[in-house]
Formats: sequence, structure tokens, C-alpha cells
Amino acid sequence: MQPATATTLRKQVGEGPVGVASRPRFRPTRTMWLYLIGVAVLYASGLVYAAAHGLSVRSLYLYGLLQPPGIAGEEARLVEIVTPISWNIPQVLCFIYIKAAAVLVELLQYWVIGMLIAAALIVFVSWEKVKAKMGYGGFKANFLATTVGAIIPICSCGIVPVLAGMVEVGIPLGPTMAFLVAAPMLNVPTVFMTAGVLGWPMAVGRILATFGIALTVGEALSRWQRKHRNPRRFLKIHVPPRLSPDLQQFAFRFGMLAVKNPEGVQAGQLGAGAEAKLELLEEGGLVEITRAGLWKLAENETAEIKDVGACALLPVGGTVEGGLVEKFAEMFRMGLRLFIQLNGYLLLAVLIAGAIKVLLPTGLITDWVGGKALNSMLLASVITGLAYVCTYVEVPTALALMSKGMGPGSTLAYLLGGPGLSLPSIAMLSGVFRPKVLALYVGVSFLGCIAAGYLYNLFV
Amino acid sequence: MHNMNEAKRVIQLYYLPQSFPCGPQSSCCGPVGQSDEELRNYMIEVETLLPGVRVQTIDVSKKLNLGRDLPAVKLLNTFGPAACPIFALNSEVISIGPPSMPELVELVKAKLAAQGPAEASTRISSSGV
Repeated sequence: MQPATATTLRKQVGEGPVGVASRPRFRPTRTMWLYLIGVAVLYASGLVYAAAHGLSVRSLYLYGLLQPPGIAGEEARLVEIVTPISWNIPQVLCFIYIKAAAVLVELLQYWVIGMLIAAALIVFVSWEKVKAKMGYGGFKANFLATTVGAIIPICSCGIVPVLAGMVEVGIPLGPTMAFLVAAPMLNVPTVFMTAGVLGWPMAVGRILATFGIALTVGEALSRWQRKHRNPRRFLKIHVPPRLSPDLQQFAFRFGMLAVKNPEGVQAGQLGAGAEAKLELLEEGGLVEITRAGLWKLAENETAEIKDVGACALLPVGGTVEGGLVEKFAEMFRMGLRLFIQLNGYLLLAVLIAGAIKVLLPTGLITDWVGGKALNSMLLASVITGLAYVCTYVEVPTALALMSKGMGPGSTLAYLLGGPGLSLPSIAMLSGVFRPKVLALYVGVSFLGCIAAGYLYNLFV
Repeated sequence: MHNMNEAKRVIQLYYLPQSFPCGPQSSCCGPVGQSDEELRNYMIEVETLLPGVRVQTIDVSKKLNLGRDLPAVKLLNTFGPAACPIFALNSEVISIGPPSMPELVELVKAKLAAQGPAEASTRISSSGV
């Protein structure tokens, strides 16, 4: 028996194989199938309703509006059939359903294109190489992390396991936070959705604002972490990092010395080059240095150990091995997989959009978040801070709010803050981050949303 | 005297029962912990190469004895499941992570020799895996 062979070591450090053949086979759950059927039925309902009532199919595809044919100009984006609110609950629900169906007909095309582009990125770009380039932090790494976050479709709902996974692979906190800010705020499908539904200026504004906010948060944390290397100062959870076999062996050697000498160990006791390795372990939250300059095992009373895999939505390993045909085949498989996995959010998105269109009185929105005043952005950011708007839900709801009179700057603030900043997501993240980090994240995001909205109104 | 020497000849093997964090038999996050077969192999090897030594397996996912197991608890607290298996002799940790068996055996022999000659007692078969 060879207990310490490469195979067993790989097993111990949890290093999974890569390539098409080794990817775990995806089996949709019953709920996923139900959502898929729901999407199909809702989509068909929109088309059937428009055909049965002689409404414009073009308006349905272009604007998601149920309107009579022959309307042109500005009116083409505003006029819709009347769906009055009343105590006739079944009728109101029916209106919500049919308006949701209309939004879905418009949205689905952008959704599919976005998913395919996202799948292509996952298949053709090596996630591990991207990670390797992030380094310690700083502008370059933060920019790279923001870009990765902005192109990979990770839903804001799955952000906590993703965070654990990023810490697990040793990505510094600056890039991690930049990624976490960017991932729910922006990704390829939502850019296309925003451009298609709300126009390219709004999509560009969204891209620029997301980068601005993510880079600011990332830079602040990179500077912070340079002063305090141990991630336990920033994180409530501690995920033991995956170390290379060499560093792992060194860490274990240190561990054996440290348990014998609880007061601390001198780096010199571990041979040449030990200081640098110990600093690396300190960054991983495994060891800490005392005031006397002795190294000891990191105290872990307040940090909870989580052994969390982050493969829920993250691409695994490197790029797909094989020829171009295999890569394209995998791209379509991945696109279909993402589509099936995220149908639930799509349904939720369009139903919320339908409900807003029917239930929200125009006067309320136009009075409070209409126009270009600064208080409109402030209020839009506060509203998004209270409501939970999952990624992919924000575009159709923004469309509905805009059609009800929300100003363009406020809409941008809503698009940014909706998925990234909401009470439920802040509550989830409070289980991961220490209060100072959370305050920084929420504060910069909140102010960033307001500033972005205000600037958008000035320049567009 | 017999009991004292026998106590010296017990090696604690701290292990984590194998699990698959991302679902049954999934490979994406790799299996975590030791399989029954791995454990059995460790025990057979140690007990064959070190006659008179008994391997006591301790499941770290269950409640540990903070007196006897404190060093292992500290290591697990810091390194997590990657630290398993941990071999300890009289609460002194002698190996962390997948061991090189020849080195481990030499180390145990040296430690036992330092503790004095052991009685040529009968081997106690291990159980519990």
C-alpha cells in the first residue's frame, strides 16, 4: 500500500479532475422541469392571448407590451391594454399572469443569447488561469476579478457558497469582494437584457457603474488586507485553504511543533525559507504571529469552520479538453444546463414584473422616483435596499417601473442596487463578513448606486 | 505494570468518515475524509509492522475527549479535515495528513524505545471501523 501517493494526496486536498468526461453528469430536478414547463406555458399564453385579441405581435416581441396594432413613435413603448385594479381578485391575477407572459415573450430571446455567451465563456476560458492571475490584490487583480464577475452568470442567490469557494482557493479579499459586487450586479445575460429592453446607454451605464463600485470596494479591502493578512479579521467563517502538497507538508510540520509549544515557535526552527511560508499560511488564516514574534496556530474560537464546496454554479477546473466540435457541443450543453437551472428565477422575474405593471399605481412611482432629482436616486437605492430583487429579475421590473414613470438615473440605481443590495442578501452576507467589511460593502454600494444614477442623469 | 505498558502501545488514529460534499459519489469537490478501506489498510499496516501496538480509531466528527484529544482538536480547528488522518501516541501527535508508512513506523519505534521496553504482551486486535 502507498498511502501518500499522488492519488491519495489529490483526494485529500479535494483536487477534482477536469475535462468533459469527468464533469459530474447534470440531472435536472423535478422542480427544474416544473419551472421549464411553467416558462413554456407562460410563453405560449402570451402569444395565444395576443393572437386571440388581435394585438400586435411585433410590440410583444420588441417591447413586451400588449397593445393594438398600428401604434408608432414614442407611444409604441408606452401604450398598453387597460388592466384596472379592483377587488375582483381572480381577474387581477389573470391580468398579472397575462402581463407576465408578455414580458416573458420579450425577454426570452435575450435570455437565450446571454446564456449561450455565458456558456461559451465557461467552456473556452480557463477559470483556474483567471484565478492564478489574481495574485495578492491591487488594481490589476481587482479589475480581473470584476471582469470575471461581470461575465460569469452567477445568481445573487448563490453568492454565499461562491464566496466560501473563493476563499477556499486562496483568492485575496479585495478581488473576492470585487467579484462579489460585480457578479450579481452584472453578467452577460443581464447586459443583453438591459440593452435589449432598456437601451444601450443604460447597459453601458450599468457596466461602468458596476466596475466603479466593485473596484472601489476591492481596492479598499486590498489595502486593508495588506495591513492585516489574516482573513479571520474580515470573515466570520473560515474555510481551510487548499494548499499545495509542499506547503501542506510544511504546515503540518509546523502544526506538530506548535501543539508541543503552545506559546509559539520561532521561524528559524523550521529551516530556511520558513518565514515566507509562514506568512503565506497567515494569509490563509492558518497561523498567526504573536507580539513576541513567535508563530502559533491561529485561534479559532470565533470563526466557524465550513467545508463548503463552491461548485453549485461555478465552472469546475480548467477549460474543456478536446477539439473544437467537442467544445461547441459542451457549450450548448452548458447553455441548456444554465437555462434549465435558472428558469425558476426567470419565472419569478416576469411574475414580479407583471404584478408591478398591474398593481403599482403610476402616481406613486412618478411622484417619488420619477424625474432626475437626487432624492429620486436616494429613494430608488433605499427601495432596492429593502426589496429582494434577484439577478435576472431586475431588468423586467425596471422596465415596468420605467413605464410607470421612474427616471433614468433612478432606474440605473435600481438596476445596480436591486440584485447587489437588498436586506435578505445583506443578512446572508452578515453570516460571512465581519461588521466592518459588511459596512464597507453596503456603504460603498449604496453611495455608488446614488452617484451612478446622478451622473447618468447628468450625461445621458 | 501490564496496563501501563499497554496504554503506551496504543496509537490513536483520528479520522473523518469519508463524505462527498457535492452529492453521492460526486468528483467535483472531491471526497473528504477517509474511506473504510483506507482506515483498514492503515491499521493493518501499523499493527503488522509494529507487533504489540494497537490502533485505536477515533472519529473526529463525533464528540472528542478534550483532555486526551486536545492536540488533535487544535490541529483540526486550524487545518480542518485536510489534517486527517492524525496519528498520536500518548496524546503526542506524530503524524498529520496521509503518512509515509516507513517514516511513521520508524517514528513510533523511536518513541516507544524512548518510553522503555514494552512487555511482550499479546496483540489486541482493533475494532470499530
